[in-house]
Amino acid sequence: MTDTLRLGDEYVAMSPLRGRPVFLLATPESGAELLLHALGELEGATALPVPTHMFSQGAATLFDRWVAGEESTRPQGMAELVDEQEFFAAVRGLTDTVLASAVGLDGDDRVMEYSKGHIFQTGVIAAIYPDADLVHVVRDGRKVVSRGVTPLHDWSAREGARRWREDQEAVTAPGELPNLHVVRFEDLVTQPAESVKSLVDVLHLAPSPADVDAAVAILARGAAGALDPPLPHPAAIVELLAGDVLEAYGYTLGDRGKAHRNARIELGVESAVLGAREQVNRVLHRLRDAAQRAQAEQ
Amino acid sequence: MTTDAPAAPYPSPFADRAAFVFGCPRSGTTWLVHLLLAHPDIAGADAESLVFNALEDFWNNAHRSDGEGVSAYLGDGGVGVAQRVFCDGIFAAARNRFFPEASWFVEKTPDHVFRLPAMAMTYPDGWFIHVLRDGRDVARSLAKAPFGPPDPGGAAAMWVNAVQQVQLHHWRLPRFIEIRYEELVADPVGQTIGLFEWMGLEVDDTVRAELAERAPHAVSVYYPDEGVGAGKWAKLTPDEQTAVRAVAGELLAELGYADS
Repeated sequence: MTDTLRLGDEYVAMSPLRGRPVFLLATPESGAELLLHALGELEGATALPVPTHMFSQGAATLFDRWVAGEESTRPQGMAELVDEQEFFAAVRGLTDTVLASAVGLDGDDRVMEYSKGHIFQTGVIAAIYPDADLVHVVRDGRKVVSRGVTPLHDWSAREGARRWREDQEAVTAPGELPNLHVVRFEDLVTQPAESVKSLVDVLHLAPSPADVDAAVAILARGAAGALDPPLPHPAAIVELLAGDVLEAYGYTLGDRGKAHRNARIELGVESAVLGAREQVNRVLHRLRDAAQRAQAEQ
Repeated sequence: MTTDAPAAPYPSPFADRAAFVFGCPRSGTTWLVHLLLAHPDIAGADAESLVFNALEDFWNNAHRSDGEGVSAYLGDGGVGVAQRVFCDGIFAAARNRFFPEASWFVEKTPDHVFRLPAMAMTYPDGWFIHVLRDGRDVARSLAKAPFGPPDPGGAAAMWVNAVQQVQLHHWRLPRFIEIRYEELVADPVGQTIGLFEWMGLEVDDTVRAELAERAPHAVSVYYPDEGVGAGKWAKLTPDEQTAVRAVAGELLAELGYADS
């Protein structure tokens, strides 16, 4: 849907926050919070301190229910009442109310928001906020998952790898977005001054030199330990499940070794278990169908 | 019965002019909306918007226990405003499309019986109409409908759950009224006029004539050979009636249905 549909210009013009929002999109542990903190130091930018989750827990369900009951025998869903533009405008009203409560309607500060689930809702965000800037923060998935398997997130390496892959694909799924800016975490922390300057330009900010220095210092502090090698097992899993995505963002795949062999075995076992489970379910369905037919014929 | 209510939480186009019809499915909610639309100042549709079902995730977001989410910025009152902005946007667009001269909007989703606290916060000035029908008739109708449980006992449980939700939460709704399906069937014109007067709407001969024309029109009928009316539960088998009584007997008696 969001490849071709977006809130029309006439509705965007009616938004009291038109042109102001900036949404950071990133898998957890990718450095989005660090960047949000840094950008919040700049005059003309207000960084929301608490994630809203308003797209991942709110707007996403509205879109799911927008066309409800396609298999229902009774007319259901908001699509029975309004068209896509009217629906998009109503969703925009809901989310604008949240952002306006955070920053007020006076002034023209860029409103910057990050919630960990929003990257997967890139299509929804792009549809509702065609006038916003979207900053995709990407980090080497091997490092992301290495941090994700710690007790803070408690992912398995496989879950983390799949999530990282799906998140990055969600950003490209809506097609080319003129308002999307991609930044690599590694560049943010190793070249903070250039990174801040580049973002100031694309986000049309006009901070003072002192503000820029403060933002640069925050990014530079993020380098400590951030570029250490990833854990071997998560790294191998990510390379096997998302190696093409790593390379698409300029990351070089490592040498195959023992970790890769173990990871291939693990993924092979998982695949076999899933395959077996699927076979069993198919047999169960056939038995159930046969029982129902026999009952109907009695 | 008071019709005083708090003001709308923001300058709403439907301040004091939004009505919500709900009840267990197969209780006559679609037919009531069909009758209410006889008034020229009321816009609406017999489609279920499911708008408050759709807002459930946002409502849960606003009540997160980890301190994150929209409540960090909205606060309790702000949640109602945000949801009101969304709903008003949907209702206004629908009104402008189908009934541009109307100033009221009536929404119907039976399942909204499970969303009354959220609706109370969003539309404190709203008019809430619960359609109550004999649970035995509801159970029979639901069991025969393509979307209901296949057995009258299971359907009766749905009815009990829905009615109890209303009993639990209706105190949150300053403008709440309950109308019995059986009374509506007996006098659809008179009962609907009573609702219009409760809502403060003027009723003239044009409205009466339109109501009289709409009243015999059957809607939401899944087995047209039977017609509409009360008491069709008597066609349930003895076993089915026992199953329904086992689940709903106490509530039926409480509501005065058990002896009919």
